[in-house]
Amino acid sequence: MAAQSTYTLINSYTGASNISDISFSNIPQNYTDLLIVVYGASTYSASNLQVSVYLNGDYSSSLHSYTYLRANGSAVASSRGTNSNQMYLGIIPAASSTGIFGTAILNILNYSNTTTYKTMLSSSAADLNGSGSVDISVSMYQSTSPVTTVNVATYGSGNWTTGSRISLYGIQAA
Amino acid sequence: MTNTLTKIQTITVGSTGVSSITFTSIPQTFNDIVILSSTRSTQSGTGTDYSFARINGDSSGLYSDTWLRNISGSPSTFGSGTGGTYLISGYSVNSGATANVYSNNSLYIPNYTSSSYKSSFTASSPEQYVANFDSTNYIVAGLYRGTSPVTSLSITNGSGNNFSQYSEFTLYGI
Repeated sequence: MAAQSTYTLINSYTGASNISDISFSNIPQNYTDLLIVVYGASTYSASNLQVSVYLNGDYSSSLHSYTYLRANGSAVASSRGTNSNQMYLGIIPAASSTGIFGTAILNILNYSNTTTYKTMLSSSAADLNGSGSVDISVSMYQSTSPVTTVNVATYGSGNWTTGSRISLYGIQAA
Repeated sequence: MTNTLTKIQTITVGSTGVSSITFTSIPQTFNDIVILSSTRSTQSGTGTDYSFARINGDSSGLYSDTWLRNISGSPSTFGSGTGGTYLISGYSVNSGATANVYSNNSLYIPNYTSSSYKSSFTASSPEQYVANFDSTNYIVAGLYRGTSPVTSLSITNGSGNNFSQYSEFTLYGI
């Protein structure tokens, strides 16, 4: 008997242009976890850019926090953000890194429960042939509300480059 | 329900060991591919042995990477490289490791059918539970500046030794 499907594509944005903030709304509540895969770059005028995530349209409260570990080839750094209005997703290439798209993978665990704060694990990779970034991070949203909307944003700087693709998957427990 | 994580092929190493495995004729119908592997090297000692991937048989200097490593709980090391001839695809425990210990590795390549450069993310954890044996965590951002779709991918033991029996490599399409 064939194995049951465990990844289901819920929605995907492709070919985005002139968009800085991509929103997945009306997320079905029948999965165990959510997975977001980013293949992306930014129009921001730099070599790379930090991108972020916020949940349920909440960009105004200070309920988000994150901790990341990041290396860029010449240094390693860890940082923490508390009482933030967004969570950390990772680093993607930007305008001066023409033709290069980075990868970020984000897991939102037990997103539909109504009793615990929501936790995310993410990793991102953006090698730029001579510079670049790789990181892992954990984030938390201090809300017990089920996650019905996820926004993936370029941190207020530039837009997603045409050709970027952001996909939302539902993961069903085996 | 759409099946979005599909096993394409599994390669299991036999009793004689092999230094390299290759996935060929990779279907061009998915968005992304990921290779998950469980590996052990025949290299002597209790450390680790890297393995590397080449795309479409290309060993030219079109590869670069940025990496971060935590080894046996010591402070992280980091680095980057350009003009390389491969992508790091993981690290194996050596033959001096406790019997039955294998490493876990993943190599994620988004948008592998595109005509853009190919980015990758590698995560590897050759964990050993014996004091003074190397236990490590690696994350690697990779870039291959080739524009052809990925139709074949090889993974080779970096030291020139073999992957041990029961090492296993599975290619998934997403």
